[in-house]
Formats: sequence, structure tokens, C-alpha cells
Amino acid sequence: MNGTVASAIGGTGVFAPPSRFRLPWSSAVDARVDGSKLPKEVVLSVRDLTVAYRVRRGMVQAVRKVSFDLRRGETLALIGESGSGKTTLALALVRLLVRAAKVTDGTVVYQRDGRAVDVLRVGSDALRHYRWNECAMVFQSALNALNPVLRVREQFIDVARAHGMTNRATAVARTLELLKLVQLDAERVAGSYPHELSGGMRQRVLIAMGLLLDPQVIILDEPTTALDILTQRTVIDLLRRLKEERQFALILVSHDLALAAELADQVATVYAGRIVECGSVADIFYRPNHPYTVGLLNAVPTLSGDFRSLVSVRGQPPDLIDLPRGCSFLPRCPFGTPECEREDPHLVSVVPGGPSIPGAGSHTAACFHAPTVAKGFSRRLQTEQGDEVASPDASAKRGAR
Amino acid sequence: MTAVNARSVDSPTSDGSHAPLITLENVRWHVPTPRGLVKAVDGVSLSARDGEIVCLVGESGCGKTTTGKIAAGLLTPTSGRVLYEGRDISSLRGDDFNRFRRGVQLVHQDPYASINPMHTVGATLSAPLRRHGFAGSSSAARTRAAELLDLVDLTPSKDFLDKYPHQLSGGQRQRVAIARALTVEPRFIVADEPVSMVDVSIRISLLNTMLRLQRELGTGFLFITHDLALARYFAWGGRIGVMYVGRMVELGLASDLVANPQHPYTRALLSAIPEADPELTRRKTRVELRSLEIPSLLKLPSGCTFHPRCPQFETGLCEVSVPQLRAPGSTVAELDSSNVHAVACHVVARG
Repeated sequence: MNGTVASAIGGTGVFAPPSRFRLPWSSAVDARVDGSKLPKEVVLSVRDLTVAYRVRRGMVQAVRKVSFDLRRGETLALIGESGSGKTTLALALVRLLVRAAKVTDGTVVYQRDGRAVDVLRVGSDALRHYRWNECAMVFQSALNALNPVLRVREQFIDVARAHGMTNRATAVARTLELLKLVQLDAERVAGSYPHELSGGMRQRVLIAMGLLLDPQVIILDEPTTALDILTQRTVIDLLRRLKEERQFALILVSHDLALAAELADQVATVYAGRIVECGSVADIFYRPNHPYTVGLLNAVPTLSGDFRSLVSVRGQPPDLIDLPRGCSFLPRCPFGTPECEREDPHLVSVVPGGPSIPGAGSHTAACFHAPTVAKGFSRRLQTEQGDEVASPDASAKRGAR
Repeated sequence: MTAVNARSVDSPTSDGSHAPLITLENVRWHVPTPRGLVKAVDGVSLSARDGEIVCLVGESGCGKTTTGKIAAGLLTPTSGRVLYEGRDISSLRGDDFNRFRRGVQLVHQDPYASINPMHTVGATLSAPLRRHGFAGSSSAARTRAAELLDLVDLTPSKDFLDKYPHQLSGGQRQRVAIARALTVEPRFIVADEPVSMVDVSIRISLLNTMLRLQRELGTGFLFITHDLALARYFAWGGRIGVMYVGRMVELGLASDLVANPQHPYTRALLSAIPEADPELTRRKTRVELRSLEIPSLLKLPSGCTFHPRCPQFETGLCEVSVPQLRAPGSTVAELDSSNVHAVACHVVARG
């Protein structure tokens, strides 16, 4: 490794981009929203976001009424099976949806330094500034996200130039710094073409590129999916360290529960375009309240502990064009009652009187039978001493230490 | 505990003699390329008895898929032998060779590529049934195809017979691929990452189906995966072999290998795997490697190929000679004795 992270950041002080890189927010004046109601630490506040794709058969309801608050330095993991709409949701947050997709409802309010704008309504200049300067997205496939015919250095400079950092020398210096930060041999990697780098290296290059303009929010779409175990570990450890040091908020889109368990503060289970449960990482893994979350947890093998038989969530994900009546999970749900068919349950706090918007300090689930589901779930995990205890006690014990 | 848990290594169909059904003897797959000799598989020995489950685990490029193809007879090793029922498969001719072909089947990784999109499920299954004489007429083939679909939990099977692959999900396609492997009533199936393309929520049900086949039909499996947690689940009661750049570095009973890993590489892998349990996964102690660089197959390190990364590296020992796969404390190299926990490491072997 070339120098410590701290020295890489603090070393030359290039990390905080000079103010002239900041486009004036005035271009976003028409989209300015009343931020006074937003708590100061909230960087992204999403309400009722709804996205649909137009296809020949009708409208694909890919994202339905999604709301959440994301705080500074917080990591939110969006967990769900493929086709659940989690990537569409992420793309909508940076307005990168394909043309066939339409945001039909909702707001995405971004806040920095007490000023807030609705990302869905800002003009093109402000949008360009918002993307990458404020909110960067790291795409799923590290090979496809890089231009194969340009050296890594040129791709960094491209981004820098597009976002107002016109001095080439500064951009190069910053590129090298960031590549060091993600533990790469900076000089060599900057001069390489993407095909000369391994999958893990490319993923780290993309993470570095995401950090180029020091954004407040970073969205990572399946950051470790195509990587080998040891490389995956490097990327996870890197992300954890970066987020502690840089205090950016992270949105993690993944089907991998283990990745969420590693990195997330908040976890949202996404099913058929909706957040069906959201809570702290401990809530979701040890005290799940939605049958789908329980189903996912019961379908993932672990390395430690006793052997336990696992079962998959039965059935298939629903057709997003023609959703089932009532709760969309009903056809697969072991807890279903006639009530579930009459009405689609809202996301409500599982603690009486708790906040019903997903975010720090709330645990919400969209299920009429949440208490029954929660009661039926018991997960055993092993403590350091090797004795087994039911999980809630274990976490309480650990909290007390 | 559960039926799955009670699975024994000895299958009910084995004749008690414990003669392996299939044996790889020191197989190598060396490929000359313009840039040099690639040693994709370098001296792997492995055997499986009737009905046994063996998992091969390793990172991409470690040679696990190549080993699987060699076991299925799709690649002829550049040296070493593959024995089926004790006979070298390269010497089998005619009916004997067909018996081997029927006896060992392969399920590929990608069900989107391995099934002909122009054929219905029924046609896909009928072709091998007719070709290998398992069905005398097309209606008999259709009946048998329906039975096979029931067997892999594609029910009601009548609904699936006339479907085309594009009408099926990834998990359903993989079930068709398994049913196709079962048409010729194999005794051993090489499954190469069969669930990696399948969604998490239904992975387990596919594995459970395969485990049921093992229990009910006595079919053995060589299960190739990069996911140790899946391997542990699938091979519970069977064995896991860990491969690293072309060599087997550790081989043992699944439960034992995961709970009590010996080789520094296995230990590093196990400590690096994130687990779906926040407390557990954040508390794990990591085994730090000396280098993150995976060696190039064109320029493998001398001696133990893991030595440049190994935290237990000892100068004058590890880079000098190649460690043999053997049980700790034993001086004889274990070709493959079934219940021994064997490790290829100088430091571990010394005790």
C-alpha cells in the first residue's frame, strides 16, 4: 500500500474541491424546496417515488411509493431478488432512467449545507452538478462501466473536465491520490487500459472515480457480485474504511444479504417495487417482521454454527405489470389471510407510535401479520464462547459490554 | 436432526466394497499457449464412491471447472488417468464407453446457454431418451419426460412439456438441465456452479432438489462452486476439496473442513467470506495475506504456489519443494482416502 489513507487525503489538501468547481445552486432555484422541515443530517429524502416502464403489454410498476430518509455517513442497503426494482430505484435517484421509464410520482429531495432541491425537478445544469459532484453512482459491471479504449487516467480526466475541473495537472494529481486511496499501484493503474486490470482492480478504479468529486452520497450497484472471495473482502474493507473516514452516505444495491450484514446501518427489503421492510441491520437480521425478509434469511446458508435445513421462498416473483390484488407477496406468503387480499398493507412502524418513514431509528414493515411473523422467527447464532443463545439476547449482551 | 443431516457418506447402493465409482489419478491439464505453458490443472487426485457428494471450491481460475470437465470425460487430461468403475476411460471402447458416458453427466453453469432455445422442454428431454434407448417410442419418451420433470419439482409437469426455454425462469431452466442429465440415469453428475445464475431466494430449493435426487436415486455429485457456504450446505456429510491455482490444497469432510480448516489458504478464504449475520460477520478475525496478487498461471511461483501470499511462509521450505496432499502427521502422500482430512502444506504437515 502506498501511504496511509489519512495521508492520501490530508497530504496535499486537494481532496476538498476548490469552490469554483461548484456550480451555483441558483440554476436550481426553481426546484428549491422548503428544507426547513428536513432534519439537518438528512442528505437524501425520498417520498412516494414511483417509476413505471412502458412496454407493449402495459406499464411495468418497477418502483412503487418508495420513501426513505438517508442521513450523512449512513449506509442503506436495498436488498431483494432480481427484478424487484432495486436498480431502477437507484437509477431514479440520479435520474439515469431509460426513456421508456417514467417517474410518475414522488420527490427526491437532496440537501447540502441547509439548502435543499428536488432532484426530479432541477434543470439540466443543476442536474449535471448533482450527478457525481453530489451523488455518484458506481455501476454493476466494472468491465462495462469503463471505456475499453481509454487509459484509466484519461477517463478520470474526462469526468473531472465534464464537471468543471479544467486544470489537467490538478485532475491527474487527484486521480493518483484516489487510486492510492483505494490501494492500487496508482501510477501503473492510471496508465493502464481496463483490460489490463483484474475485476477487483476495475471495481476499485470505479469506486475511486466515484469519489473524484467528493460527493455526499454514493450509490453502489452490486459492488462485489462478480468478484472472487478474497477480492470481495478487499472491496468490503475498503468501503467500510472509506465511509468511516469520508463520512459519505452510501446506498448499497445488492441481492447479497451477507454484504448488507457487513456494511449496512439500515437495511430495506425490496419486493415487487416496494420497500416491504426497513430497519437497522440488527432489526432486519435478528428481528424481521415481514415474511419476505424471513424467507430471504431462511434461504441463505452460513459457514458457522450448526447445520440447519434451509428452504427457499416458495413460488415466483409477481408479474409487475399485473400485480396480485392486495399484498403483492400474498401468493408466496405462508401467513396470508383473506384480509391480505382485500388491501395492500402500508409500511408502518412495528413499534407502536414509531416513525413510519424508513430511516435511522425506525423499524417499519408492510404486513398485517408483522407481530406473528416476528414471534415465529428465531435465529440462533453462536457467541464467542461457543455457547448458543437466541439472537436478541446475544445482541443485548454485546450492547451491554 | 433432519433427514438431510442424517445423510451418510456411504450410499445405500454401494456394494460395501468401497471401490470408488470414479477416480482422478494425478490428472494434469497443461495447455501450450503462445506466451507459455498454462498449467490449469496440475496433479489433482480425487475419487468419489457411488452416491457420494464431493464439492470443489476455489476462486476463478483455480482449475475447478477444468477438473470437472476432466471427470466428465469432456477433456482428456494431458497426463494422469480417469478411472470409471476401476477402468481407465481412455481405454474404453464401444458399449463400455457409452456406459461411462451415460454414467457421468454434466450440468452446466449457465442454463440460458446450455438449453437449445428452439426446442420445447419435452423435445429437449426426449432426444437423449430416444437416442440412448430409454424410451422405445415418442409417447413413451414423453411419459418419461413428464416423470423426470416431476422428479426435479417442475410441477405440474404437463404444463412444462410444451414450453420453450424462453418461457421459463433461470431456476426452472436449470431444473430442465438437471432433468436432461437424469434422462440417461447417471450414477454421477458433475454440476458446475449450477446455482450461480439463479436468484438467491430460490437457490436453496434447487440444491434441495439435487440433495433429494442424491438420497432417492443414489446419484453422486461433483459440485463445483466458489461459495464455501453453499458447499458446506450441499456437501454436509460429503467432502469438500479446496483448489488453488491448479492444485488441491485441502480435502476433507465438509463439516470438518469448514469448522477446522488447516491450510492457510482455506483459513484465509473462510475468514474473508461475509456472512448473512451482522454480529458474526463483523466480529470475524481475518487472516491477513502477505499479498493480494493472484499468481499468473503462466508464471507460477516455485514450490508451494501459495507461498508468496501465505502468512505462514517459511524461507527455505515453502519456495523449495511442492507440498503433497497428505494427512497432518502422516508421511505418505494421500492419493485420496475418503475420510482423511488431507492438507498440502509443509508447515501444517510438520505439525
